[in-house]
Amino acid sequence: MRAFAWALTLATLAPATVLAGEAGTAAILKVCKKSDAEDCIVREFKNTVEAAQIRGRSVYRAYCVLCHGESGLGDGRAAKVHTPRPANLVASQVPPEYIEMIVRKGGAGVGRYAGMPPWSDQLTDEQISDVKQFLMALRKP
Amino acid sequence: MKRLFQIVAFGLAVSVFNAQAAEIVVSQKNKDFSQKHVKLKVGDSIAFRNDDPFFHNVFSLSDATSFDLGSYPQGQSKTVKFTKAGTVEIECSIHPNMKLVVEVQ
Repeated sequence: MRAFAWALTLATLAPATVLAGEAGTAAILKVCKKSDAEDCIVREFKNTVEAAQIRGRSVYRAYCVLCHGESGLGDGRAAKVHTPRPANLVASQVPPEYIEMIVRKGGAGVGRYAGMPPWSDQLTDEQISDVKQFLMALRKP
Repeated sequence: MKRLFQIVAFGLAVSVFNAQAAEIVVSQKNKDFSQKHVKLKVGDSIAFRNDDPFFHNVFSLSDATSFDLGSYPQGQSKTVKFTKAGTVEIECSIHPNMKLVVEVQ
């Protein structure tokens, strides 16, 4: 498994993004070169969790990093104007369904701090699903 | 005497009017602020009105004034008073391309 980790070149992703299952890894290695592994995975294996996490990372960097920070620790550049501070997504233990709900409805929509905006108007269903997969991968095992 | 009183009263009214802080309205429409650059005096305010059919947010991380108005839907308006001189860059966290620069003098 570790021998195949290079194929992803996902330096900023959590270890959980390493391919799950030898069969899946072997299939990707047959198709994808190291030099464009991420693009290849998204292009050729678009329905896999790995592809979703790569796409989700892009969504996260575009919309979430402002408050939650590059590493998801809740230390983005806008964190200082929020009380309470943005959630530490690495330490979060809420289930994936809850992540999706709070992303869609925002903090106020689930009875929490309103500083978290509702994203259902801005993000597609696929983007929300992708960012959910990325956030699950951010967590420490 | 009556004439003098009228002149003094008028002068006082003018000075009070001039000292009053102004409030301008900036609309959020089509994922943009209706103005890109605004000049204000210390004590003036901006009411940010959401005229789009989806949520907007308004925040600033500038040293002169930092705030986050949260997210609010169409038809709602939230106001910020600028109490310090300086340049304030205002953004929307939901739509990263929205930018407004406020110069407070």
